[in-house]
Amino acid sequence: MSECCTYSQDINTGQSLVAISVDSACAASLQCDIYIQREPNEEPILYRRKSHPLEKADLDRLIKRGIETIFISKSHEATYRDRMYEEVCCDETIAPAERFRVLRDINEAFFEKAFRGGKLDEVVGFSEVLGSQLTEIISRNDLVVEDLLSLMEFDNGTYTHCINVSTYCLLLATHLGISKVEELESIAAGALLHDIGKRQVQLSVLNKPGPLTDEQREHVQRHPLIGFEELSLRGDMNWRQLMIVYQHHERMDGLGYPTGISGDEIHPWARICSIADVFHALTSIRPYRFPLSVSAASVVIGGEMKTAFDSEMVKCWNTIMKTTPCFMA
Amino acid sequence: MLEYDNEDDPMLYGIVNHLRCDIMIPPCLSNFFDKKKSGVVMADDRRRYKRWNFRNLGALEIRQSFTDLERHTCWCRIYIKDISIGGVSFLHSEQLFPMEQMRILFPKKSLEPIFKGRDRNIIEVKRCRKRGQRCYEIGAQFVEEFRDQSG
Repeated sequence: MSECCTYSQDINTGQSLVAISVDSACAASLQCDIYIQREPNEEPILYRRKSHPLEKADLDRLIKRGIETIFISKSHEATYRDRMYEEVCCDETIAPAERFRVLRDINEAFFEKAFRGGKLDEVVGFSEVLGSQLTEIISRNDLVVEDLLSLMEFDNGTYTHCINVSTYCLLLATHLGISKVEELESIAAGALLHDIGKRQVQLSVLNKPGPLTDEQREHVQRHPLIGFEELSLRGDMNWRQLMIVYQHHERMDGLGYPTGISGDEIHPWARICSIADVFHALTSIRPYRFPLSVSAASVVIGGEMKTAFDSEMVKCWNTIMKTTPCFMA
Repeated sequence: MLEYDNEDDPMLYGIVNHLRCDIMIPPCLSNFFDKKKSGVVMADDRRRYKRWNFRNLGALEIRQSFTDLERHTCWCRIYIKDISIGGVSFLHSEQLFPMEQMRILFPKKSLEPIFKGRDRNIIEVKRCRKRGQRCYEIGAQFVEEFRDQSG
């Protein structure tokens, strides 16, 4: 369940409200007005003023009443995310995989909104911060990959896709021996932005439950180029990150797009991202097909699609997957 | 062998002919210069301007557009494919990236009815597709001036 996912409105003040889970409210020791929905589909009403902070016992009572979601004003969303990060994601006593879950969930609504409707500056800045935070968790020696994968979500949302691809990129990069924190942060942020060009593609086309027409496919296939154009002149993205955005659909056999380059012409970071991207695509729910299991997706990547990817990277990817026996069953 | 008719601008041809050219024409483009000049390219509703076949030689000045992408300034020979009032497509031996800006020279005399005196010397790359070993097809847009790199 997401910690923070949907927007609503206070019927009295008209201010935007954002939904968060009751669990996370406790962890973040919120100091703001709290709203609840008495019935599903009802507008949220004020439950507790800021001057009377929620106690653990209050939250337990809410859970007993079957209320799993509470609302806070949108203006407190950033504070909430910061608190959750400080109090949960930075807590070394909590397992890295669990910290990953919290980090992912508290950022969902913000990322989705910034990605679809926000300014490019907002998305890039946010990706840099989230990329660093992800790196902090994923590159730790005590991360249990099996635990991490068991938490992955496989829906078709933009955020799920970007954060999963970024996470897979970090996993693969660290196993390939990339250990410099700055490089890993750079990879994570670049991977979060790899599909930024899809902002210019209509949702109806992206989510079309059937084959695309030639014109639609051509349009969708422009997204690496659009993303590169948008980001290349900003000055705050390095060339390697830009190559993730521009080349993540290139294939080692030259059958990719937008340029159709092959082998070493493709930047290594883009090669990492292409494996992560395809792995997520195969394992996620899509409007036009059922998801593959993690093990089946690994077989496809190492088998029928093997000419598309860097063979050393595929080997490394399969090694990572083999260390998570429950997924290879 | 690739040959072309050079009545348009003999002086430019003389210069272009001495420029380095590393393009390898793949078999699928072996008849590249067979298409007659100034034939209309198949209509495409998505394009703003009508495109014309313009198989000819040209010169491209490689320049550095991105701080992180090292380019040594030099001139090289290119093969022009087609042209419109808004842009040009050509073959080049190296991959170019979108937003790169370069200077281009090509015979313009026969294109005067299209350009009507407008300067068409600076391009911004819009797309690049590999057509074979050392052969990339570049689509570029004409721009008025080079982007300010200082900012």
